[in-house]
Amino acid sequence: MNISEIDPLELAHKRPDWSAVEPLTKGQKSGFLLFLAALLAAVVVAPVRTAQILVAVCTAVYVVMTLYKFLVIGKSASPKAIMRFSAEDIAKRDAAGDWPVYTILIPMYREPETLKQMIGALEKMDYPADKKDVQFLLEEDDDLTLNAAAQLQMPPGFRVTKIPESFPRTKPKACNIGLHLAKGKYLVIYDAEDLPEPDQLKKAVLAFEQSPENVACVQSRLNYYNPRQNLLTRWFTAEYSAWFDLQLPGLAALGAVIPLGGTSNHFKTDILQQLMGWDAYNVTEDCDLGIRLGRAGYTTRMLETTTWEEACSVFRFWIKQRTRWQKGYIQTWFVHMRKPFLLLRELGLVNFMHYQLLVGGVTFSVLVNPFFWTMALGWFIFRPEGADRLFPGPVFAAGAFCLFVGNFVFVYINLLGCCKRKWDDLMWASLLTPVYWMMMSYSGWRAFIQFFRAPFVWEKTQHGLAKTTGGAK
Amino acid sequence: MKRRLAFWLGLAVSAVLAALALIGIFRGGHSGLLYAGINGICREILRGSTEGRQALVGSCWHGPLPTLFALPFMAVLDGYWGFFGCLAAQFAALWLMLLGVGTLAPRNAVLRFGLQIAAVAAVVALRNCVDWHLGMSLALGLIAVLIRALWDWTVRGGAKSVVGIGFSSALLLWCGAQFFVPVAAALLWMLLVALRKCDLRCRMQAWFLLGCGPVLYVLAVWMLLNRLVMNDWIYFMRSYRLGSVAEAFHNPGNVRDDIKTAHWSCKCIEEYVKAKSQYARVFVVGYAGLDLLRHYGVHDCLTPNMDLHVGDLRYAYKGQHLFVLVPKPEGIAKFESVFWRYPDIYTRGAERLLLDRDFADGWRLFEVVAAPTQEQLDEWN
Repeated sequence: MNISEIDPLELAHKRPDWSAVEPLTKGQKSGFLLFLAALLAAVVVAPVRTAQILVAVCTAVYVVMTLYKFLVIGKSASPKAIMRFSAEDIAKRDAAGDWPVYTILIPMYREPETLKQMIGALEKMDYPADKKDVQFLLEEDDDLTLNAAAQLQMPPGFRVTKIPESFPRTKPKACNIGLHLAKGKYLVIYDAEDLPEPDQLKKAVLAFEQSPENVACVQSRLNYYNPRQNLLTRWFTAEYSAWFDLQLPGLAALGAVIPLGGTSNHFKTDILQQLMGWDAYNVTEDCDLGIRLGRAGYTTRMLETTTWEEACSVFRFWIKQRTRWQKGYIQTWFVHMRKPFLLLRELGLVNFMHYQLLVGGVTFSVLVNPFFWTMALGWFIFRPEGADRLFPGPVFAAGAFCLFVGNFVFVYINLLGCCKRKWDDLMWASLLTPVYWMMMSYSGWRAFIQFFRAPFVWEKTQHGLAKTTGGAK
Repeated sequence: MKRRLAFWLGLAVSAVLAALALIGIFRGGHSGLLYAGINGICREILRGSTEGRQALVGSCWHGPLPTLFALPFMAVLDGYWGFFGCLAAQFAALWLMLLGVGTLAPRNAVLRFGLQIAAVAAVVALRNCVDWHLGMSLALGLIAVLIRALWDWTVRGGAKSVVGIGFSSALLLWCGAQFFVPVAAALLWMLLVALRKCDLRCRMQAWFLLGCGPVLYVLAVWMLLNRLVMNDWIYFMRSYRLGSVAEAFHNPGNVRDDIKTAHWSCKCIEEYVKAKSQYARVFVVGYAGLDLLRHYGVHDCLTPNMDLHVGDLRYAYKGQHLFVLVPKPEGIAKFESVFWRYPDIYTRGAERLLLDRDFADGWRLFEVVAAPTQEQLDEWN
């Protein structure tokens, strides 16, 4: 197939209602403005009552989020939470017959320094060389990486796919072209700096073969190979350990829709093609795809294998990366909430609630947190007049529960994540997680503003800052 | 199916046991005290009053966890139904914890019922010890979970057991300060087991943070709340001795000097304002005020006040002769919120607050007066 014949924006063209091409529909804009107007009117007419209701609603969300975390983490201990395969399982499958062709997509942009490392890592992967279909997706104007690729001797099955210059310049758009050119039965995406465990492809094949037909995606665990570089990478690693080793397995055990993690998600290629690939306008296309899989009746499983990545070690770049992720979550929430009743019918009530808590609830908390921290601090220090009127008895009790129990639980989850990875020396840093939450709230508000001002801007993660890859086990 | 049946059966049995416990408590003649106590505490917490917060975190009657557990029932259900619901839920929680404990608790359902009945018997038998009443079933369940987790840890090790030890210990501690020693012993045992096994010893900091973390956190929060609400970091630990305040008054030889002084000051203030008006009420400001009143006991005339909003006070206590007692802004007392709002209150008073007189230990009494009329203003001018 000729690249010029491929429409990388197929989803936006054929199913615009599933794409973030229009960040907010007219109905959503009207609804949003109406809500703001009603809120303003309520503040003018009955400020105390309005504030009481807002505080009560936010507190209720916090309580639900805290209990939800309890449930998810509790479920992560279930045997259904994660699929495990031993070396013996792989050996048995080796003896049973041929492995299917596996497509590996590596979208890159201005990352010539990581190309050699990536080729090395892919060559080391324990999978028949003739069954690997590796595509480096390089932008047409990225001379740096294109030149670096031209100077390297590509192993058989490895090729460079040039992505024509067009708007939007996003990773999912490049991946859509790669998807159309894929030869494999299964497909996986890796980032340029990734170091997947060598047996990951084989484990993924086993996972697909031993799962029901409706399992369309297998998510590997992600973690970082430079956790000890500085405090930021320590926090980031603790967060990732908790997310990929506890929370996502917990969600999988609950049979919930899973917002997919950035890379190392393995797909059945034909199903992904039916779903028209990734949304090129969504800056967290992986999260969106996870929800679309759920809406189409497919499920995702977690796989016990790790892809090691580089933790962003510079505050400025971390903020940009997190802004993009949070903006993507906001985009995704609005896209799927265009027709909430249809979403409810397609996902079912339980998964609908999972979606609200995972995508909407997390973003909501990040945005609201600074107000509550300020209120709590103000109450403890200044005891301003009338503050207690905002927290009538039951709301005060629920708020105190969130403040003292909820926050501790969230920190403890990070401790558990580190413990599970046997990164005990990172646990002390996890105790300072509240500072990390403040950073998240800052990037959350940045994302919220950017969602309205520049919804498609892709703040690219800066790679190549790691001083070591020694953390990969 | 079997698990579901066990669950519903457990709930039904819990309801019956709660009714039996209720009857036992009533027959013991303690219904008034127990019911009125928890009802009052919950009512005050739901009102958001200082007294409610004090009862929650510094109470010498019930630990915070049993009180929090009772709160939703007392809020939603009326009167004794709330009390019954709370007891039933506690027995249900005990049942669920015994189910969760699994192998340690008897697998036989009859024996499990036996354990529950033992819990009821314990509640009824210990009805004379007021501070044991409310959290009895919860504490029994948590002790079972803690023992199971310790057993697992000793035999097999693993993070799951440590999490179990950490959370059950922390919750147990919040059932009452009297569990401090068994909780400390459990944690010590956990660390000793880790020290004895090679594979566990190398991860001591992980076990310490996961196992002791929840307990230390609960303790820290409890202390912080005691500092904020009771002006004493370890009031909850002391409350048994001071509570007891009544006992101390019966035996003056054992009363500490500061308690005697505080008691004397309060008595003087009360006599002074009562001489002025039969309907006098003194608001004793801030945490220092709590400290002063702690040794004086509950009294209508002297009321603790954390926030000092003069307008609100006048509105809430219409027709009464109101006074405000302010501590000298020295030492820790200078951080009282009242001095944030009225920096010069001690030296110059404030709007509608007129200096009346000084008392011992630097306490200064102000009278709350009505807003001056135009005639008065003209006269002053």
